[in-house]
Amino acid sequence: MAAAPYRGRRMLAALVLLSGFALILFRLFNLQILQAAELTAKADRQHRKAVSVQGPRGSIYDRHGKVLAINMDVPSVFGVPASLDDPSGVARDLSPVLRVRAGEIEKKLKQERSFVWIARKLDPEQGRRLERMPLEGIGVVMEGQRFYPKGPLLSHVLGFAGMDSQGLEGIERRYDPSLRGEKQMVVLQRDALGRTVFPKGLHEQVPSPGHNVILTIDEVIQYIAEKELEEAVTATRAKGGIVIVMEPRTGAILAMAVNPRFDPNTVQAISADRWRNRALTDTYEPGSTMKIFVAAAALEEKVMEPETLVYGENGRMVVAHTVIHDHDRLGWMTFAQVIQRSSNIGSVKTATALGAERLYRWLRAFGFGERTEIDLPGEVTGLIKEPRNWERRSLASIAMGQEIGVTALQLVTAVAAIANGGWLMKPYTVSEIRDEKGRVVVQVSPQVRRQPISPETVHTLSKILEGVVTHGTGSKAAVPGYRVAGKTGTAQKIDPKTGAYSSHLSVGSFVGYVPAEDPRLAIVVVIDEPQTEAWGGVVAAPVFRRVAEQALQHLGISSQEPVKLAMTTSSEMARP
Amino acid sequence: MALERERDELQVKLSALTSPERIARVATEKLGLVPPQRGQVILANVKPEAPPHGEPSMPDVKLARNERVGKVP
Repeated sequence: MAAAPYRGRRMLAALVLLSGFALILFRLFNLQILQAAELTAKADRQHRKAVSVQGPRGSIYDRHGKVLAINMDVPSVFGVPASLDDPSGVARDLSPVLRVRAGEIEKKLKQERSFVWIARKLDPEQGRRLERMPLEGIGVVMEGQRFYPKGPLLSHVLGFAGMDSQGLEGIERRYDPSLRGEKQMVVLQRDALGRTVFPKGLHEQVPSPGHNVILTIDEVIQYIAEKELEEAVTATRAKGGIVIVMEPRTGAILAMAVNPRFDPNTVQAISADRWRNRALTDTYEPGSTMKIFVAAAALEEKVMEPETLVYGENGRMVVAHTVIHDHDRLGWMTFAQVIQRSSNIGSVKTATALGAERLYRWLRAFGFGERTEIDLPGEVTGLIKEPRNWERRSLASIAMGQEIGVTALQLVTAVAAIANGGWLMKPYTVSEIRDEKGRVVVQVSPQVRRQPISPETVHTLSKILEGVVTHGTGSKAAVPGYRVAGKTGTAQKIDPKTGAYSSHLSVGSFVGYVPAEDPRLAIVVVIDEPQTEAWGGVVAAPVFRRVAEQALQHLGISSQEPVKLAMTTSSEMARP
Repeated sequence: MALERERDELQVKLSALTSPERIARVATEKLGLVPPQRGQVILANVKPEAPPHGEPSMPDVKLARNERVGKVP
């Protein structure tokens, strides 16, 4: 029989086939049942791509709704080198629109990559021209770009945001959580070649934009402050300067100018040193402006009265083995004249009568040595040593505004407390935060920190400070038609080379308020290292006058005194 | 979207064109204007009361706190 040998072969073939099927079944069982969860997840990872999408950043406005920072979608152009037949021709076509040499574009398009950026964040007009060009393998996407349309105006306060729309300095940094748009994860599909498939209607799923921030700043007063500061810094060949304009009753900042300025639109090209808001990050020895607070303490403690006689020692006195000078050989004078003539010797005698502990306590009460808690990043506390660390000369030095470091913001805040009747306010730059529909999310109210001084003392001190301007060292701060109160300051700087007070490096300042009888503006002017003149009464007081004069006019604060008409006489006015 | 984009673009342009720095530059350099000199601007308050006996209205020029300083024709 021939069947026997075939039977064996059939059996063998069936066994091989069955084993094969068994193997396939085992593999299927392994893939479909045992590894199912792991493999499904792996496939999902390959087919899906999660990207984060962020809503546009909120805008920043001044107190009158003028735009100071805004986001705008601008075009960016990319290439897909693999789908280009003629990279040279495409580069030649793109070159005039992108204003980039054709050679450079061609180099990018010849890279062995699936995606290349050709140019990012172009202006909208370039985008429109690109859209009209039918170029294969070239695409345009819109990206959010931060714009500061007023250029350098208010740059130190606004700060700036980075490429990924994150606030890096100033308001942009402090209020980043409010300004930043909502973040959402969007899941996209990928095809077999790994290319992203954008679902229809994706652009309609844009997450909510960030909130809008409304500042207390008045852009016109800011411009006035920056312009006048710039002119003064140029005229005195100074290293820089600061002007702060504050509303004394509320602590709201109307202007904060720091010179030299920078343009936040081109911040990449500027050194970090220029970004710093020196009005609150840098301290300086205030010099004679500190006498305001020595006087406030002396009047409040009843150590002195305006008519108390003080002997000026003919302009020379020895304290702790060092000689203290006055700018004039002053003899007997009233306490009011000590301040008005800015007598160092008179101020040292006043501080001595107060004693170290009381003087220290009073300076701390006015906010020196602590942050004002303004809503801007980077503020420092300033420097005021505790009396137990004072040396023999310290009491006299501090009475003249030496051995103490203050920020311009601390100084104007403390003077505003005298202007408003005795209330130390918390300065602030943001008044409201609104959502994209204009609904108020946060409303900021003025905040009192404490009342360091009584209204009676304020009244007496204010009269003395008016005298500084009417017949003292601050005459150049006088604003015709308005009563001005204030104080000049001239401080020598420490020479970094010698560690001693320099004979040629100084800081000239003026701090005051206007109109004195109903103060609406408190202003500090600091001119750093002026080269032409050192005196605060010469370099800073005129800046105070010019800023105050224009700001009062802008705010419609009318003069308290009759003003002569410059263009017409009364007889001309009487004519029909 | 396109309209929103155009609105944002116009806002940026408007904001840049109305910058106080630019307005001052155009006013002084292009139009030859000068800032008002001292005494050329007087802030006036107009009294809201009606003039007695139907006399023609002559608004008072006032300085702050309603101090009367004269009349304008």
